[in-house]
Amino acid sequence: MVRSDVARRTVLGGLGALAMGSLVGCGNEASSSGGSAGGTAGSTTAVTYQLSWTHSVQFGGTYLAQDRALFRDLGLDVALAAGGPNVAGDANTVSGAALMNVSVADGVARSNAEGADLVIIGAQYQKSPVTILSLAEGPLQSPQDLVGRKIGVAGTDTPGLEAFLAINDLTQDQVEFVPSQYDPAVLTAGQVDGLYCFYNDLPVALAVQGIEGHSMLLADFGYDPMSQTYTVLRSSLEDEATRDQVIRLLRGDARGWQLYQDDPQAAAELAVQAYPDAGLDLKTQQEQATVQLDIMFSQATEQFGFGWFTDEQVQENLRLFELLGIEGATEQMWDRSILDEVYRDGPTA
Amino acid sequence: MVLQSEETVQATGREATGPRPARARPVAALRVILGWVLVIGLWELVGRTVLAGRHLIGVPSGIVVKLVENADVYGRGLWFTTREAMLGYLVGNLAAVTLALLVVLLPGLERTVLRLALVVYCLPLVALGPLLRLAYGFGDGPQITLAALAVYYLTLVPLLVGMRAVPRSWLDLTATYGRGRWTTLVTVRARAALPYLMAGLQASVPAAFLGALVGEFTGAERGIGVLSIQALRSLDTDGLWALMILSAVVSMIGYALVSFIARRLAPEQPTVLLATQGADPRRPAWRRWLVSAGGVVLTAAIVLLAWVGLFWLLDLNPYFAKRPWEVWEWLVSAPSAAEHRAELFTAAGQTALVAVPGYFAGLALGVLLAAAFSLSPRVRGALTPVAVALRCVPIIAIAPLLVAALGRGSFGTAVVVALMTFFPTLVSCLYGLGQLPGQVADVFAAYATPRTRVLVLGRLPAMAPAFFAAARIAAPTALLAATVAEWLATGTGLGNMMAVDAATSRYTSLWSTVVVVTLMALAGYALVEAVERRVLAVVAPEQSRW
Repeated sequence: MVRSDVARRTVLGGLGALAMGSLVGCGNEASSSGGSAGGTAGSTTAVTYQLSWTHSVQFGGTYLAQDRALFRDLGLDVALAAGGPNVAGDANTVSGAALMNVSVADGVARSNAEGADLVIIGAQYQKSPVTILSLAEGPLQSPQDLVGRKIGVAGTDTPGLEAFLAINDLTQDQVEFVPSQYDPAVLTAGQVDGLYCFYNDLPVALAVQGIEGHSMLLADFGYDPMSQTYTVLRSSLEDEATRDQVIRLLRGDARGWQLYQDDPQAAAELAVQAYPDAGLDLKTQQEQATVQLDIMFSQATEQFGFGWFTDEQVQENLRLFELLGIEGATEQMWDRSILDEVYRDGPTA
Repeated sequence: MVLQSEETVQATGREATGPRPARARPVAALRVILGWVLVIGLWELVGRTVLAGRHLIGVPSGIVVKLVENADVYGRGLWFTTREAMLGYLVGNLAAVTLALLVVLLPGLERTVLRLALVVYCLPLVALGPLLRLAYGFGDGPQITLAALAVYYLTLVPLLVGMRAVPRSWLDLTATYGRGRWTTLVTVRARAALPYLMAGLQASVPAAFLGALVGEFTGAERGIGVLSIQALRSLDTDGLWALMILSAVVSMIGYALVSFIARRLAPEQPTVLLATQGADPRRPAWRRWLVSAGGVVLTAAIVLLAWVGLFWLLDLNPYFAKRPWEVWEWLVSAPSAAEHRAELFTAAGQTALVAVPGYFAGLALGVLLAAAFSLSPRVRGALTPVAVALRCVPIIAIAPLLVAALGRGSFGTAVVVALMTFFPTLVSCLYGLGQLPGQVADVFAAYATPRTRVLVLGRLPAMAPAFFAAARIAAPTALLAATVAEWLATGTGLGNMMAVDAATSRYTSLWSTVVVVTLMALAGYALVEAVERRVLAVVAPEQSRW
């Protein structure tokens, strides 16, 4: 994949279509080969794994897999691509820039409604991390508490909040939506009563800052889209060689998360040490590493293995898509055959 | 008498750099230090009392602690971002100079080149970022490209104005010697364009830094942008402010460096241009109309061709890289096209509502500050750092504070737009005010004309070409600023629509929005240009031809 990109870019530079293309291209090649830490070209396959946000212990298990050479042992040279506010994860998989990305079920369904053909082959989270965070002095503990309150929600999350209200027999005019994008300070500054965010992100930051907050998981009140999904192209599963890479990638990742379950703190330390330029704070990472155990490991993962999902979850998600107004999604959007393969001999990858 | 002579120095257009009485210096220095201590003390007090625990502003003591604790992390991040910004600055300005040379040597291309340059400048970050990441893969490519894109237009426009700011007689002189455009360019135009080039180079310093920083939101692994997202998301307000202060300081150093070079290179005194009015042979209205319509069609054709061609060349997947005909279908021929248009127009209306007032406010702020700076070196010294800082602090960092102070409505966003727009105007106008011809300045000096009168009668008219160059730049800048503010802070209008489209994979809608944003910017630009032509035909007729 990477190779053909390079060729195109050279063409571009040569044509001088973009005066900067060639100049910038050079610096970029050097750093990308440096990033993959000198792979033994003959025996390993280079693949890109697109993460859903900037580096943090949120991807701790994956870092462990990388650090302990679990991917390498399976013959993969994995490049981890960071996400961020301006990164389109699904699009990177669709375009072939990444073999697999971490996504969310409703996002995948939307991508497919727009013409992509993506398949979910596993889910890192057993429970959606979406939560409404409020301060301890005015805690929002149930959907009813939202009535008459101001809730900060990013434009992209508005459909989610609307669906949550509908599930709980509330109407949109009972709650005031305040468009807030990336700044959590709207909550501490008192501009909103609650903030739509992720369970293992802002609530942790708030706690580390010494502010008491209350977190209401929407999954506990009927809104539970499958989250941190392993997402690949359907065509990747149909091609024998690529399918094999996908299996190895997921197996390696699951092994990393098994290590994580035993020692989340090691993952936190690794995240801080492996990404010294990401500005991670050890204490926050340690706290987050513990907190996210709640939503990543469950009865189901004990019984079937990490990343498992059930048919009931699939049906529940399909019903949710109807509420969200996403059309055309069916059970075909999920494929458990990779998980079946990985956990053929029991719940350990 | 002493006062009088200082004023004449001012009036001739030179900086008042003469030595002050030696005794005054320590006193002045003490006053400055006391001023800073007071400001920082107040800041700390407000942060620790009224705003305590609200995470709206960082406090000085906390910021210092962060700077010390994270010195190596911040230092490395700063170096990465600065390097991207410097490369982008270099590439962008080289591109601007190349385009300007092309236009001077082949004047027939001017309007087409400028329109194309404008289209490229108008491409919104929200849409461009993921595409660049796809095209470049890992590494610094997108950051450098975005920095270059943020820069080149700021230099190109004033540079072209400067290339024209030459007396007709000089051009006649080179023509008499049978020399062509190249000689004219080297001997006459290059020199005349120098101050304008410098204005562009100065204004683009903070723009390059901000471009690199926002470029890091496209999945970069390091740099100030990455660190600020992390700080923002972990409510590390002191850390966030520390990072913003570092960004501001780097931009200020760059700005100071360029302005130092600019002072070294400045030509002695601008000459009287004395161009006659309306030398342009009047062609019939229908012909002029035909020519400009032809130009628009030509530009549109090139843009469409480049659009299709680049996507093909980069082998971009049609799933997200929509082609022109898909946008056409979305907006015009599809059954639900009317619905799509209605949605777009509502959002466009919201954006226009903040972009237009923001545009005028930014322009006014730029001109007023420039006038104040030219009247008082002290004001200039005190406010220049503030102006640079305001320009290079990313909106994402100060949005919560601004929203808290000004509210979530369109007024707050308009203020943000003004803050993001005023800087190129300020710099351009400062140079423009210096374009008062030496001979005219001498006349004012001979009559001991007060500074304010020199400003109104001499400097402001001399500034007109530079002002309009700034006004032309500010039109697309205001629109882009509005969409960025909407994307990162307020969640309304076209900016939010693009972000939501990108997040929900509505790529046809996204590209349609990009087209609409570009058309809006072009329309704004054309309006400014029309006004400019009328005014400059009177004040600076040399600008209407080559």
